[in-house]
Amino acid sequence: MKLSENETEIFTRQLKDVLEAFKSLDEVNTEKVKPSFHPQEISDVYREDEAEKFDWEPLSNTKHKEKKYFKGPRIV
Amino acid sequence: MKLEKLSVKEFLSRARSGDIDVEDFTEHVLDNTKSIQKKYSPFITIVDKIQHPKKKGKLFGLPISVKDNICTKGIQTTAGSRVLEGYIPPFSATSVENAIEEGSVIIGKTAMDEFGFGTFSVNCAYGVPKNPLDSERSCGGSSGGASCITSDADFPHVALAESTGGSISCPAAFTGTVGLTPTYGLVSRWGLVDYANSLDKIGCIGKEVYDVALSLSIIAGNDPKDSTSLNVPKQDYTKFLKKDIRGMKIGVPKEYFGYVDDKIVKVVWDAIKKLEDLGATYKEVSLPHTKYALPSYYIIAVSEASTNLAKYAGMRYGLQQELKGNFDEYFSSVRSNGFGEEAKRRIILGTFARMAGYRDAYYLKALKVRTKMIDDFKKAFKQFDVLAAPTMPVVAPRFDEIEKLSPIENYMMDILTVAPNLAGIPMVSVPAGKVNGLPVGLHLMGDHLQEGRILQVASAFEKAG
Repeated sequence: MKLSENETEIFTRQLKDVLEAFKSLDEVNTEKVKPSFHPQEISDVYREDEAEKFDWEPLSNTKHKEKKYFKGPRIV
Repeated sequence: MKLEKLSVKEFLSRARSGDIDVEDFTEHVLDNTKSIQKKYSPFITIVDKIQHPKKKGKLFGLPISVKDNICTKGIQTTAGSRVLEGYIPPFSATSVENAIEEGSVIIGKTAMDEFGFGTFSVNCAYGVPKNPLDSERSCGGSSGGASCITSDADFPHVALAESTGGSISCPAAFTGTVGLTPTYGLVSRWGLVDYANSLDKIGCIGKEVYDVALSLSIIAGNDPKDSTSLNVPKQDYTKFLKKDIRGMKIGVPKEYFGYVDDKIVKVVWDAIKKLEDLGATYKEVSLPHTKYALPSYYIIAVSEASTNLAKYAGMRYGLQQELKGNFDEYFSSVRSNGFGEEAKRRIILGTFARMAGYRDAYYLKALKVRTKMIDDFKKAFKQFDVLAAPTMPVVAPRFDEIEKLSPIENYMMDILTVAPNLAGIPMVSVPAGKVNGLPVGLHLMGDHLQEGRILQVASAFEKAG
């Protein structure tokens, strides 16, 4: 993302305030507490590794295409 | 045609019996929708043509609106962002498919804060929806368009909406509608444009408790396409609405009244007393980590959001520019043009919170505090069936008041809704009364998968009038 000088100046000030407010978390003793990546225990779900057909046209939403391929910007 | 004033329940009964010509009716609804759009702008897209239902399901002929971050096959889906402008999904979200399968018809895609980043639906790339009760005020966010159309439509209708940190409860409270946020994982997120994967929940907004209970019965259910979808059987939530609430134990979290406008506090306490009159008992309870919910929520939400937004590259879908420069220049240019101010702020904040050297202090710390908050709720639900509190600390603010808020003041408005959203517990906001002519929400929260209980209390309260 590119930011203008004005955006950088405003965001720096605003985000300083936000980070300052976030510091209140330091008051909580979280020793030996496990992080909750989800609200409830979630276990991995697996399915058989079998190919499935799908009927979407993957290129329907792009104007950057050639034959059956997406066209992207230059890499090198 | 004098069918508009019908409730969802009456409409469905008459439509299914053939007493109402559904095709005629829905065309009429589309005209009404367009006139509401002119006044309050609840939609980003209104469908050109209604897709009439093929079979008589449980929602036969019922008009629904869909929040614009939920994919709808063949109908533009932007999540309120320029970066997705013109995106026409080749599939529908599972929740939408379930609703269509039962015969509902989509009238349009509702306005929202970009990707759900906001509390007032003012961070919108396609126009700000206005509160039909006072058009100088917000109808809440981020599901603002959903609450707006639900509040103003006098035809039977349900809105599919979505909440990450309060985006269903808040707009429901501000517009005097009923907003139901289910347990995390109860409704499939497949086909939802992600904001924060561990927090996003698809739910609904309706005029009456019956409307959201019925809709949840349709959209809930395990989905192999969403690995976080819970493996619980489908059920009919409307059956809970017939039960009374005698003997029900209600906890009133005292920390939820400290930041709230005095007049709102009074309305909510009156509502709790009414529940007591209906046979419930109540007692105050402490949820000691409440004040840490806000920083914990924002750190987790922006961390997840900043990774999710990295997929928008202007190549395969959404906003596309002329392929100029190298990949880095091209992607930067698309993102700089496509993302609004709040999205940029959250990307920077989220990237910082996950950065090497800061990750433990911010992101991991927030996740550990979340554990403490979930424990607070679990302890409370050993004692109580339902928790009752105000939904929002204020009534719907005016747009000129919102403009003056700094980002941190803005985030503070979510103080009452972020904790239950972090814990992934179900919640419903029901209209409890008014302050200065504006609606106040009563927030009823239940333990995981206890949607039936909160709907039971909400329904008893609604019937008591």
